[in-house]
Amino acid sequence: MKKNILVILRSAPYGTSKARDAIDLILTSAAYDQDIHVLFSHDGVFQIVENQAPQALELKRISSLISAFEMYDIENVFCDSTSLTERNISLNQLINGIRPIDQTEIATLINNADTVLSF
Amino acid sequence: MSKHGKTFSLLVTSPPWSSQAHITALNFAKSLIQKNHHLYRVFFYSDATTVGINSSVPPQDEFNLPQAWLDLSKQHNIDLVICISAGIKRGILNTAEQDRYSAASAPMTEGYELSGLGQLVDAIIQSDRVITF
Repeated sequence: MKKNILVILRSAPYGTSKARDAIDLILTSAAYDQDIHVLFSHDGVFQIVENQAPQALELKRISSLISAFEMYDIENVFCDSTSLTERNISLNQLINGIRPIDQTEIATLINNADTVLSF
Repeated sequence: MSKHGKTFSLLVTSPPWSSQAHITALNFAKSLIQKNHHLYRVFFYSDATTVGINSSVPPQDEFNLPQAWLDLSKQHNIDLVICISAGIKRGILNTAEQDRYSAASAPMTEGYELSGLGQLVDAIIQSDRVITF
């Protein structure tokens, strides 16, 4: 059975393991051939800023893991445009393949999902 | 599944002792069962996995949370799954993982099951609702 799963990533990329935990779940869901949707919002939009240097923290680069979504056929990847504006992040700072959407589109995304998981 | 109820699974990510999340999740689980819904699986992820360590000794006059999950599991035949990747890095190993990594001990509590994130995806597929704590 295929379910529409929406994972909302609301946390900063580093400082807690939430981003990494969510990404591991997203990749596993894709391996199980689920209809996966991903939304970055609030401080979660910092995860998709391309220029990250977490080497000093001995951590893998979150933006590189997200860039690999395409290889797993995860194509429905969105970010909240309001969250970008609030944090003064411009679209050219982001990794490729992420579509900014507004509040109405976010509501539709949540409404269409069978299961919503938030990290 | 009961005739009118929905199937639920719980995803617990918060630590067992330094947050209220587990006790809230446990109360939620008891309530949904009481209201004739079905609880398919509880999946412990991230810091929540430490609930399954068998050398945990809560003070005698205080609530025994790991035991409460086990009691609920036994009473209602509910899967308690500890995420293997999150668990083993926190030292929650069963004997199979102890052998695999030549670890000093296997401190996972019997009654919990050590398995992969696929069990969470399966819970999502099988359940009408997945609630995160």
